[in-house]
Amino acid sequence: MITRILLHSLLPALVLASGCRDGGSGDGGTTEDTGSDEVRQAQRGELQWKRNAALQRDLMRALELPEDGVCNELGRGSCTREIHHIALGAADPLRIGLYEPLPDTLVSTPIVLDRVVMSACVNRANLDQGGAPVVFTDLDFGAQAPAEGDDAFTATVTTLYRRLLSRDPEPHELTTLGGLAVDDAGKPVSAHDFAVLTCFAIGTSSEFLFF
Amino acid sequence: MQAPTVFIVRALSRHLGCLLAFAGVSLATTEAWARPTGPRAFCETYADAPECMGRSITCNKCHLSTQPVAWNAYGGALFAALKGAEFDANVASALRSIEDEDSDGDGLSNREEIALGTDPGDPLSQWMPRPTPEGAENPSFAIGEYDPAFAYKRVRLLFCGASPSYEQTKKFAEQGGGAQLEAIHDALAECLESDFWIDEALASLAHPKIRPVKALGPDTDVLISGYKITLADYQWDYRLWQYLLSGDRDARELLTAQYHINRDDAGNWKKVDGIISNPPMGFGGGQLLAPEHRAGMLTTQWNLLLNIMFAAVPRVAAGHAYREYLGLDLSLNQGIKPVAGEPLDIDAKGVDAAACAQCHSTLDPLSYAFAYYEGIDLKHLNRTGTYRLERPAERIPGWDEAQPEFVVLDTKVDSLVDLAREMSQSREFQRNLANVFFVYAIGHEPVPDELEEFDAVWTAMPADGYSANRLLHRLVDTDAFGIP
Amino acid sequence: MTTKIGRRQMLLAMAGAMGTTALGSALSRATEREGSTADKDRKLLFILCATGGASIVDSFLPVTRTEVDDDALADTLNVYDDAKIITPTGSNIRCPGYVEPVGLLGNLYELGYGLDPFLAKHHRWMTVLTQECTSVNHNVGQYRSVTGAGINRGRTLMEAMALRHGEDLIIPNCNMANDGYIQPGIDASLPAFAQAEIIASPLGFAAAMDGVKGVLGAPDRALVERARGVREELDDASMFGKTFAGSPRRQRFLGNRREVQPRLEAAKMMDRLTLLPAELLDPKYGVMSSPLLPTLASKFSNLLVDPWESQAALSVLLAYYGLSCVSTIGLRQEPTFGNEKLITTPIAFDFSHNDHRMAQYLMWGHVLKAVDALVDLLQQLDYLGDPALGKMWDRSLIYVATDFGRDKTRPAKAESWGTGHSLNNGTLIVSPLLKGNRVFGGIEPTTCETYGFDGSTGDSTPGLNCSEGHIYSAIAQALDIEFPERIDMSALLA
Repeated sequence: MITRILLHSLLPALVLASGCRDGGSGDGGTTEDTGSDEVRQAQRGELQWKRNAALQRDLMRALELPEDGVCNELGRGSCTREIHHIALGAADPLRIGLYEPLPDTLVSTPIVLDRVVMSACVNRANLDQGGAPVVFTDLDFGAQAPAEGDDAFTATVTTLYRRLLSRDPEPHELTTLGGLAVDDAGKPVSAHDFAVLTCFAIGTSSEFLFF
Repeated sequence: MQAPTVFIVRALSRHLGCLLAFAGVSLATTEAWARPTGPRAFCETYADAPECMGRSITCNKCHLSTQPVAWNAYGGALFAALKGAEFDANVASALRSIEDEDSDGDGLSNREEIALGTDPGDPLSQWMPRPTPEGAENPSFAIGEYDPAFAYKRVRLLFCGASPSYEQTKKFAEQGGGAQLEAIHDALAECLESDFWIDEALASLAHPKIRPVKALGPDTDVLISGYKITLADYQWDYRLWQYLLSGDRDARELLTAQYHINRDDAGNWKKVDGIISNPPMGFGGGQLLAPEHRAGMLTTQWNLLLNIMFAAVPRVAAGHAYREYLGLDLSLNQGIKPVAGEPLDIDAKGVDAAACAQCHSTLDPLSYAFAYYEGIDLKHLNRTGTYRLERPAERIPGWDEAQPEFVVLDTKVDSLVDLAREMSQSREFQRNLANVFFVYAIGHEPVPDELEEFDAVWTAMPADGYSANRLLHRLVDTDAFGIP
Repeated sequence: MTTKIGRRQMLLAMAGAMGTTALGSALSRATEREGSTADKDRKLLFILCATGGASIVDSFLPVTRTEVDDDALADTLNVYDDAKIITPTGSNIRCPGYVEPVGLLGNLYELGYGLDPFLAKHHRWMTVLTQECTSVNHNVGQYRSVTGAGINRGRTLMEAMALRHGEDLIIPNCNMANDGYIQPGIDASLPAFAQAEIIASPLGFAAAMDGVKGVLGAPDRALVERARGVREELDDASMFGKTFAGSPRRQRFLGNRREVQPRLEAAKMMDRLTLLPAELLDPKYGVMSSPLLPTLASKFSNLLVDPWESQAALSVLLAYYGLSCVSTIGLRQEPTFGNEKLITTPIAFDFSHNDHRMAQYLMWGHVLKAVDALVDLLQQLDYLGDPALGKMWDRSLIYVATDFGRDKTRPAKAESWGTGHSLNNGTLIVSPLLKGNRVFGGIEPTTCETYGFDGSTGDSTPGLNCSEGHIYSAIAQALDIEFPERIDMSALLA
């Protein structure tokens, strides 16, 4: 109990001293997602990260891929189990005597995550293109990417959000992802590229990695 | 901010040369010592302090260094309060006498810092309370309170190895508060039976305890005359760990089990009693130890091989057990509980030198109990992991005359089996096991505002039958787990 | 926000972004720019971890029978026949010559590199320091050998090195070793950039330098960049991103993704660090071998099968391309096979428990072969490929770290015997930054125990013992790393 008393007694001074919150502008905000930064932030913010085994399993689950269908590094071994497992948060007792996984991500972690998710997304898109589609059921792989607002566009993005993030996309997220239906020149990309890029953008988001 | 006062024994200049082994130095006006009995005395005085709950403070509470002896501000204040009086008899009153002081000048009294779990001798040792959430209502997360959806996802990922699906998430959200909490525990119960938890996550938590080495284990590639150089099989260790920390079993048997665990063809656990022979064409890989001398993970063939090796007095094995199963790392000065008269330096290794004695006075009385167990005897490879009553006398001249006592956690015991049982009953064992799961589930060691609920979790272990599963069910209910 | 982006990284990023860097022109490109002040002053540290207990008595501080001056005593000590000890011309250091494989397991090994050719070639760079460590537990001994038993606020040498010389490098502290050698220090105030990047797979690490290259079927890089831009927008705007904007773990991840990843990709580090030869790279991946691979392979001929060599080779690339200033490599517990026999022992130097002399000779040879290759390469290569910066060697220090020493006794007259762990030992450092061709401290022939020296004068004195903190301080002083507790080791400096 003394702990709590002390915490309360210290609170005003330490909040001022810590300065670690971005803080809001003070105009109150709303309870809706307005896109502003004023929503209440996590009090603890001590996120866990999805380490190699869970990452692999989550991609297998979300994209309905077999274990060896997620990522193989240059044909030499599993990205998540053999080549990049340390950067993805695994221990390695037998090879390097790393008995406990590292607490935090490494410099190479975001890069490796890109590779793993990109590989998984490409593999799923290839499978769907070559056979009965499982994830990208609303895309015509022989055509261009659907334009933002098209039913196929919305259905594809919604499917990926549901599979990867277990939620529906917000309207502003649909709008933002519209940028992936076209290239830098504004020309529509292929449906295959759209599938991969959308999957990649969502699958490498911090929301997918952290929990 | 007040600068920390540093007391250093100037008589020992590092610049004059190299290491001089000592723990005490006579000065002109007083006598300066590092006191290995200090941590015990502190925790007897402040038994309810967070750092004394199932663990003990280290020398750093008072010392910047024990060699050469140097105190931080708090240690200096204690030193002054003792006024040269005999340490053990007067330390409690000296500690009390400086409670209201703020030795490190950080704004909190020594007593307040002790209650909080920060260091009263280090102004940089502070706990920053978490800021009060500000801003508009967060529509996705319950801020500043237990968030069931956040906790549910964590349970699924940490214990089932995959996020909840969209459908599962939706179904969860549609439930009321009470039902959601129930759903969290239902999910956890399901996950704790999963292959991911038992074969992947739980097994990975055993790595530091088992420390497998491929070159000596069942997967080695090296053959000698058709024999694999397997000296022991660490898979027995993993299975015992997995078995005892699943299925609501009694976790104390990690240190008391006198059986081993295998799997049948269907993958179900199978208890194996009695001696298990080494497999053919291998130097080890069985469990040759007579069951009455077994002490769970401490006496597997692998553990004895790896940690005893060739040692007459198995200090590494004892230190490993103390660290991994009680959470007390003597190399970091944790868990120092000196035994009077120790170390005997029974094998003439020089551990009675003052610099070594402060830890070896705790370590050696633990180690003696391991001396009956064989690590590696190159002339008798089939002895690895066996008990031989004559081993200590064969390996340690003077053993019979010395008649060393075996002591753990201030308790005299008769054998390693007794020692392990004593360990398994201790608060240190409970706290350490809970800490392993806390770090896995939360991602860090408990911090001051999490200690109260953490202590509540692990102190419930006896009531929960020492079940790891029940401990985990309590853990996912904590604020540390469920507040975003 | 504090960044660790130096001028060099900006140049690299710009060069890559502007498409001015042709594949395969890495060597010449590195010379196209001027080194920064930090580049000019930077030191390089290579820590070679001799896992298991490398005994100085069996390498560069041996004792001969004659010196014991008592035959019966000599029969029970780890001493060498006088004729076995070699002192190359010009060397003040000596070592054992060829050790015949004997004992039960003698025919398992394939002896490779000898100690005496190494000594003959490198004695002027070699500094031998005696020491007495403080633990005979492998893990603890390893850790203390790189933390100086906590002398510098609990920072490892690697962390201290990264702090001193690596603030503007992308991954200043790369650690490929094992067990206690890869444990982080305990200084909670250490900036993230100085923490070690742990590398378990040196041959696969290059792929961690680019998020797309070599991923079959990945869209065009411009499209991937577009997707990344969208992702960043989504991340910032999502309710998750807003809620956890202050999460340290997420911030660290995003910081690396937003600041470091583009630089690594722009600098095309994947092609530069790839240690696989062309024949092992399927062209469909579009990945090339490092331009330096032929040079490296000429020195590390076994790098594809021997992790020790692949680690050493990668350490050269990491330093050469300005990614890191300290690399740590370690002997694996798994033995390495040569043609048919073992070229390293199981559990590395710790096989001395079974067969001390053989294990020490074989493993010292294996360690020194890599040191030899490193010295040759560092003497050959200009730092950052820039002649104006001089040879890498001129700024380098190679520290052979080990867990502890080995027992000094043997069963009477035994030719093959096992040894336990001993606190008493010595350390080898190879560097132009220290006084070379020199032993600091000494050894007492009648015990084979080493004794220490005064770091400020260099005088050896029986009765003194130097600790891990002295070794740490000597290396720190040579590398311009300052800290209040540093012990004066001026006498060792070149």
